[in-house]
Amino acid sequence: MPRRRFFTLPSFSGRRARQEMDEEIRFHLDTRAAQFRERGYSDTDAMAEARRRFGTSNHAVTRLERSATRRERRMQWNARIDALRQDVRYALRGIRRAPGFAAAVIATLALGIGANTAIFSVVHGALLSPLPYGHPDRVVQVWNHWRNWPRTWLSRPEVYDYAQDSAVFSSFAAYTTGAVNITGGGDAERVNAGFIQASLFDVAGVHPYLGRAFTAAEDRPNGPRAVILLEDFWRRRYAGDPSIVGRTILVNDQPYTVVGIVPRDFRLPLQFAGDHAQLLLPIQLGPVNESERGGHDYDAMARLAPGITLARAQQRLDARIARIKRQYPAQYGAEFGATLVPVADQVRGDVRPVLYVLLGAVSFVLLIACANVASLFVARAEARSREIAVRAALGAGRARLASQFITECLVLAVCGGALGLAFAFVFVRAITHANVPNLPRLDAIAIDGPVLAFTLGVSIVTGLLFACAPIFQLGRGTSHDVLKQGRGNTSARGRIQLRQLLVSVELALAVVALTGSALMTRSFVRLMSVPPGFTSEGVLTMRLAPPAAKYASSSSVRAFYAGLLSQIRAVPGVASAGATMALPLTTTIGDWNFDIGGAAHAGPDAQSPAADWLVVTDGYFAALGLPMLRGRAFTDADRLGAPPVVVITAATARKYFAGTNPVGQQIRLSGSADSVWRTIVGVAGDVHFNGLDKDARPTMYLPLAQFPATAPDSDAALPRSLSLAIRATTNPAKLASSIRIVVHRADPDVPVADVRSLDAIVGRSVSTPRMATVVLLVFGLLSLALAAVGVYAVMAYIVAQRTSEIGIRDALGARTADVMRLVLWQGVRPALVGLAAGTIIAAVGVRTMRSILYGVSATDPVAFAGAIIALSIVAFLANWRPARRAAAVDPIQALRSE
Amino acid sequence: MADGLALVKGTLDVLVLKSLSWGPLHGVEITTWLEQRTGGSLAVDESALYYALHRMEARRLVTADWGLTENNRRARYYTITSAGRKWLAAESDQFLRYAQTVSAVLRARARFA
Repeated sequence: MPRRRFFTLPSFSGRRARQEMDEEIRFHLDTRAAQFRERGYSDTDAMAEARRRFGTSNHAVTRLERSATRRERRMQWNARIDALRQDVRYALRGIRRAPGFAAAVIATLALGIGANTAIFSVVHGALLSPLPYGHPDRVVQVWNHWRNWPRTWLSRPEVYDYAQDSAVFSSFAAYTTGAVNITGGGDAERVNAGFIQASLFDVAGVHPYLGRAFTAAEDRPNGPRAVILLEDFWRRRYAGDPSIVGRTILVNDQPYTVVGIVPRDFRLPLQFAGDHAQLLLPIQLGPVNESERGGHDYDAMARLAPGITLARAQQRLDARIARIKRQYPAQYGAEFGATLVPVADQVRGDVRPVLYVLLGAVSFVLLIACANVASLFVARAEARSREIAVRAALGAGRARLASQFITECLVLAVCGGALGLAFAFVFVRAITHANVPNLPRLDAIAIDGPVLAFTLGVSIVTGLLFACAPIFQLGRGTSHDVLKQGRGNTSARGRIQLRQLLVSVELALAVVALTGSALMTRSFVRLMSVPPGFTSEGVLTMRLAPPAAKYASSSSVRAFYAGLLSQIRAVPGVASAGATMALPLTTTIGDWNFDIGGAAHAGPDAQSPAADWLVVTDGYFAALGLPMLRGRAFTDADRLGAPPVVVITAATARKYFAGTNPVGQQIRLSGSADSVWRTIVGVAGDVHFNGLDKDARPTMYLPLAQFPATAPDSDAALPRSLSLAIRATTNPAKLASSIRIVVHRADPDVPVADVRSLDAIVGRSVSTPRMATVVLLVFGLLSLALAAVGVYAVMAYIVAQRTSEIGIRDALGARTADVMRLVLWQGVRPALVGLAAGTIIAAVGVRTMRSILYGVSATDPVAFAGAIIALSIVAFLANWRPARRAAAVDPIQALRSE
Repeated sequence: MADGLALVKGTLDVLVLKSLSWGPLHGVEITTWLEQRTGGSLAVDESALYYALHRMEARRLVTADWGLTENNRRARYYTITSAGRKWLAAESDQFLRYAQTVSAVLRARARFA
C-alpha cells in the first residue's frame, strides 16, 4: 500500500514534477511491455506495442511533462488558497469565541481609522487633488508688493507692462470680481461675477463646456455684450437648457448674449474657498492710460512660458519692473515690486499648515489606538498560549502560526476600518456642512477612490503593526515551557514588560496629542478675546445693490440710502442704522495716500501718509458701536455744500498726528477723484478689519454724502453697493423680515443679499481656527480616553497575574499600604517614563504648530502643564482601582486559586 | 482502435474514478482494469489516462503518492478523495439517466404511444 502524507502538502518544484512524470511513463511502458510478453509478444514487439498504445504523437512525453507541471502549479495555488481560507475561518472562529475582545479591538481601531480617513479626505480634497486648470503647475498668481502690502493688486498700465514679455508668460490675464444683478425669467438675484480678460481661458487651460470663450472684440470697451455662465448656475437658473447659448439674458438690466458654459469646478484663483463667481464677463480694459498707473484694482494670473522656471521668470519680471520704476520715478517707491505665486500655493498656502497639524494629530490618535490594541493582543496571546503550544506540538509550523496571527489581525483591522469608514462619512458630512469658508475646494472633499484606498492601506498597516506584538511573543516562548507551566506565575514577566512598554508609548503619544490640543485651545481663546473694536452683539447686516441703470448718478444713490436709512430707523426695535462700503472681517480694503494740511507737500511716493479708506453713512458708528475717542461722528449736516469732513482712527492718529490733536487738522486725498481738503472731525476707535489676528491698520472714514467730493454727480468712484448695519434693541434675527419689507417698499428692484448678524460674520472669520480647535480637542480627548483605557487594562492584568504573589505577601504579614505601593509602582513607573518621553517629543513636535497659533508660544508652559497634569491624573486613577483590588486580595482565596 | 469503445468526451474521467473506487491503483492497473471492463482496448492513447489523472488531481478528485508494487518497483498510486466519490456519484447518475433516455428513444417501436 502507498505511504500517504496526512498533514503536509507536497511542495514540488516544476522540475521534480517533470522527473516524476518521466519515471511514471517509464514504469507504464515497462509494465505494459511485460504484460504483452506474457501474452506471447517478443521482447522488441512487446515494447513497440506498449509504445504504440501509449501514444502515437512524437511529443506525448513532452506534453505529459507539461501537463504534470501545470497540475503541480495549480495544486500549489490551491494549497495557498486553502491555507488562507483556513486562516480566515480560524480568525472568525476566534472572534466568535472572544466577542468582547473583538469588539474592543474593532471599536478602538474604528475610532483611529475613522478619524484618519476623515482628515485624509479633507487633506486629499483641499491639498492633494489637482486644481481644475490645464497643467496647474505652470499657472501663477501675479501680485504687486508694496510697503505694508505683501500682496496687492495691479494697475491697468502694469497689466500691459507685465504681460508684454512673452519669454516669461505664454499668456497673462487680469481679472476682478464683483457681483451683478440678474433679472428676467425668474426672481431678481445678486450673483457673484468674475470680470476677466479674454486670455484668461488660455492662462487657465480651460475650455468651455458648451459654446466658446470670449473673443478679442468682446473684450474691448463697448464691444458686443457677452457672458459665460458656470455650469452650476446654468443648471440652477436655466435648468441646464443648452439652447441658452446664443440667447440673451439680463445682466444689470442690460441684454448680454450667453456665449458659453464653463465646467462647474472652474474657479478664479482667489475663489477656491468660500463664495465663487457664477458667471464671467469680459473685463474690457481698453487702451493704456498712464494716469491710471496709481489705481491698483486688478488681480492677475499668468501661465509661465514653456521651459522657464519660476525663479527665472521672477528674475526677468524684476528686471522689467526696475525699468518701469526708472521710467516713472514719481509713481513708485523703493519697496515696490511684483511677486509670482504658484497657483497651488495661492489656493492652499493658508490652510496647509492647519491641515498638516490635524493630519499629524490624527496619526497620533491612530498610534495610540494601535498601542492599545497591541496590548489587548498580548493579553490575548497569554490567554491562548496553551492552545498555541498544543498546536505547535501537533506540528503547526511557526510560519503557519504567524500567518494565522497576521490573518486574524488583518480581519479585525479591516472590520475596524469598515466601521471607521462609517464614522468618517459622518465626520466628512459635518465638515462640508459646517461653515468653513476658508477651506478651499470644499466641493472636492469626499470619500472617494483614493480615500478608500487610503483607509484600506491604513487598516492593513495597523493590522500588521499590532500583529507584531503576538508574533514577537511567538518568537520567544518555546512551547515546551508553556506546556509545563501552570497558571499565573512569574514567567509572564516578559509579557508584563511588553505591556508596560506599550503603556509608556501610549502615554507619550497622548502627551503630544493633548499638548497640541491645549495649545490650539489656548490660541483660540486668545483669538476670541481680542476686542474687535466694535460690538457685534445685536447687529443685523445685509448687502444692497441698487442697479446701475436706475441709479446712474451719485445724487440718486445718496438719496436712496438716506431715504432708506430714515425709514429703517423708524422700524420698532431698531436702535441705529448706517451703511458702509465694506463690513469688517468680510474683505480687505486698499489704502489711499493723503497729504496733511500744513505739512510739506511730498507727492504720492512711498513716504507719504496712507490709510485704508471706507465710505460710510451717518449712523454707521453708532450701529457698530464704534467709540469716538475724540471729536464727533458724521451727522446729517455733513452733506454736499457743507465743509468736507473725515473721521480717522486711533491708529491713524498715532501714526501721523502723534503728539497733536488731529481734530480740526486737514487732509487731502491724492489723485483727482476726491481732491479737496477735508477737516478731521473725529477720531474713532481701531477696528481689526482684516481679521482678529491681524493688527488694526490706520483707517479713515469718508461720509457717503460728501464722496466723491470733486465730481459730485459722476459715477466714477461712486460706491453703489453698500452693506447695511442695523443695531437692534431686541434679537436682530427677528428684524430681518421687516427690514426686507422696508427695502422692498423703497425699491423692489434692489436685491438684498448676505442677510446675517455681525456675530455670524465674526464667527465666520474665525471658522478655520475654530474647526482646528474643535478637531484637535476631540482628538486630544480621544487620546486621553484611549490612554486611560490602555493603562487600566494593563494594571488590571498585572494585578490578576500577581494575585497569588500578593496573597503570599499578605499571608507573610505585608501591610495593605505596602502592597498597594508595590502594585501602584508597577503602573506608575511606565506612566512616568511615558510622560517624560512624551514631553520631550511634544516640545519638538508642536513646533510645527507655530504658524497656526495666535498669541501663544509653541512652548507655552500652561499648555504643557495642563496636558501632563491631565494625563497624570488619568494614569493615577486608572492605576488606583486595580491597586485597591490588589490590596483587598484575600490571601486564602489567592493561594487556593492556584 | 477501430473496434474499441469510442469515448464520449469527459467519460474517461468517470471511468478512471470508478476504477479507483475500490482502492488505490497505479496507471497500468487502471489501464488494465479499463481494458477488462470494456472488453478490449479504449479508443484513446493510454497517455490520455494521465491527462485525466492530472486534471482530477488538480481538482482534488484524486490524490497521488509514490508506493511500491508487488515487484518492489516504485509506482505512482492514485486514490479517490471524498470529493471524488461525490463527483463520481453525481456524474454516474447523470450518465445513467442519459443512457436510459437515449436507449428508450432508440427502442421505441411505434410512432405514437
